[in-house]
Parts: sequence; C-alpha cells; structure tokens
Amino acid sequence: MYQNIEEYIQSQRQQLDVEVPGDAVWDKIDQSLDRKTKSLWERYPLLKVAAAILLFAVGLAVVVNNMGSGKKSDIVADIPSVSLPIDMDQWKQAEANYESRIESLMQQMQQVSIAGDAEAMKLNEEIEQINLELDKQRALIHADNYQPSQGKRMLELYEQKIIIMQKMVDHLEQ
Amino acid sequence: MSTTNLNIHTDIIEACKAGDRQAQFRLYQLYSRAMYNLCARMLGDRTTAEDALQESFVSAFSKIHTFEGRSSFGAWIKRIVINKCLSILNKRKIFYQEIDERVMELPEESSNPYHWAEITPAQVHQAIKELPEGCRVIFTLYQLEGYDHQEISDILQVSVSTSKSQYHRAKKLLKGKLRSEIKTH
Repeated sequence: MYQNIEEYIQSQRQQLDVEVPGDAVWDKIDQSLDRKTKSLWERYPLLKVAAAILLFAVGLAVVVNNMGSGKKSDIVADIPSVSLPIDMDQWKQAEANYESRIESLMQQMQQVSIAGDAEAMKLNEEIEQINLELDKQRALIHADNYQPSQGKRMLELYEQKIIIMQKMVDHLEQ
Repeated sequence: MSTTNLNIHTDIIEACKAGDRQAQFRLYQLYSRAMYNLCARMLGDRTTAEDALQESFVSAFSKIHTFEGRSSFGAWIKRIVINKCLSILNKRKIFYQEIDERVMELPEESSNPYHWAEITPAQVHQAIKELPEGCRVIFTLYQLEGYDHQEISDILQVSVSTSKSQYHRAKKLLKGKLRSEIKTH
C-alpha cells in the first residue's frame, strides 16, 4: 500500500499514461512530412510551365540580343570593359582587371574537388593550355617594344580563359 | 528493455533516417502515447497537447539524421517534446511564484494508506492536468519526468527554491483534489 502521492506515482508511472492522441494527429504529421519532402515542382505543377516559358523568353532575349548587335557573350560582357591598350601602362591596367576576375572565379572553383569528374578535368586541361599560351605571349611583351597587337592577343586569351572558367564553375555548381 | 527490442528500434530508426514513411508511423505508434500524455500534463488541454505532439514528431523526423544513438530514442524525443511544450508555455508567460501562502493552509493528508487503494491512475492524471499551470509544469518535470530542481531551475529560468516551493504547492493541491475525489465517490 502506498504511503504518499510520490510512492503512488512512481509505482503507477506507466498506468498514468491514460490518454491517447486522436487519429488526426498522425494524418497531420503525414501531411507535414509530405510538404517537407515534396519538391516545389510536385507541389505546384504549373510552376514547370511557368519556368519553361521564362527560360524560353530569357533564351530568346539573349539570342536576339547577340544576333542584333554582335555583342560579346554575357560572361565576357561581365568583364570590366577594357579598351585595346595602346601602351604598356594601359596594358598593365587591363591585365590587372582580367586577373581580378580570374581570381574571383578561382576562389569559386577551389571550393570543390574535380577529382574523378571527367568534364571538369577536360575544362581544366583547356585552362592549362590557355595558361601556357598566355605565358608565351606575356614573355614577348616588354616595356620598350610593346605592340598593341600583342595586348590584343593577350586579351583574347584572357577572355577565352574566363569563358572556360565560368563553364567550370557552372558545371561544379550542378 | 531487452536487447532484441533495442535492435528492432534501431532498424526502425535507420529506416526513418532513409525517409521510410511506414517506419515513421511505426515509431510514432511506439512513442506517441507516452509523449502525448507528457504534452497533456505539461499543457493541460487536449487540443494544444495534440498540436505540440504533432509539431514534435515532425521536428523529430526532420532532424532524425542527427540522432546518433548516444541516448535512447525515447529520451531524445522526450527532450524535443519538452522543449516544444516549454516553447508553447513561454508564449503564455507563466509566472512562477516562490511561495503561495494559501497553500500552506491546506490540511495535511491523512497518512492512512487506505485512501490510495481507491484512487485510479486516470484520476491522478486528470488531477495533475487540473493543477495551476506553473506548479503543474514543475510537478510533471520533477515527479514524472525525473528532472531535479536544479535542472528545472535551468530549464524554466527560475530559482531552485521557486521550483521546490511550487512542487510542494502542486503536491498539496493534488492531495486535496484526490481527497475530494474519494469523498465524492
């Protein structure tokens, strides 16, 4: 026999759980878990159509824009505009702009390992090829015999490098 | 609990980590009753207790990948449930008083053990639910969930003496309620 309330409760602890939750509780949990696990596409099927239309419209706009004016791609357009450097000072300034952009892309790329990723390895090889060509061209540029044609060639290589690096970043993000 | 049961639970928990809905339902069946009664005693009413139970299980299933098995699953989910209940109670802004003088005037319980034979667990459960909110929470945590007054003091941000005095208040009120239950029947 129990002497006090504490003894009673300790002895009857399991029996004190007398209530049962309603069946609707699990249904609500089930629904909540569904909402958490279902993708946005599954929950809003019309979103697919809207996304497809938006993608098509953006793509169309880019194509029309490029065809109409013969502009550079978005990636190249993102590079701070640099006019053809006519002397060594202007060349150094232009090169600094490109290097800054390349540094930013490098930081994004370094966050992910490309080991075992065939596509990334291929892009990496292309970047290495451009680096070799850049080194070769850079060795030809001297303060006393700078030629604008040399600067132009370097800028073309930098643009190619940035395009490939951007492809690499996009690929790694996927 | 036997080793076999522990293994069964481990399998269910691993399946839950993989998002298996049947396993989640099985785990819910295993723990929902105990957790619901805890919610009911902490919160006092059925609707809020069911809401707390629902939110606790959704939260538990969402972060079950963080459960490493260092404690039992029951202890792990109980902590989630108690936190959920405390979060709901915090919104109600309960004030825990250190001493309620009126409680001290309640007559002492007869030491006659005969009375306890007439009390059912359901009556005790109901009487706990009917306690004033502040002392009910402290009584539940201390007497039913095994927390000590220092832990309750940390959880509820009250002093240890407040926890103790509220516990004694709950105990006296509970005895009074149960005594009147016996007299009524």
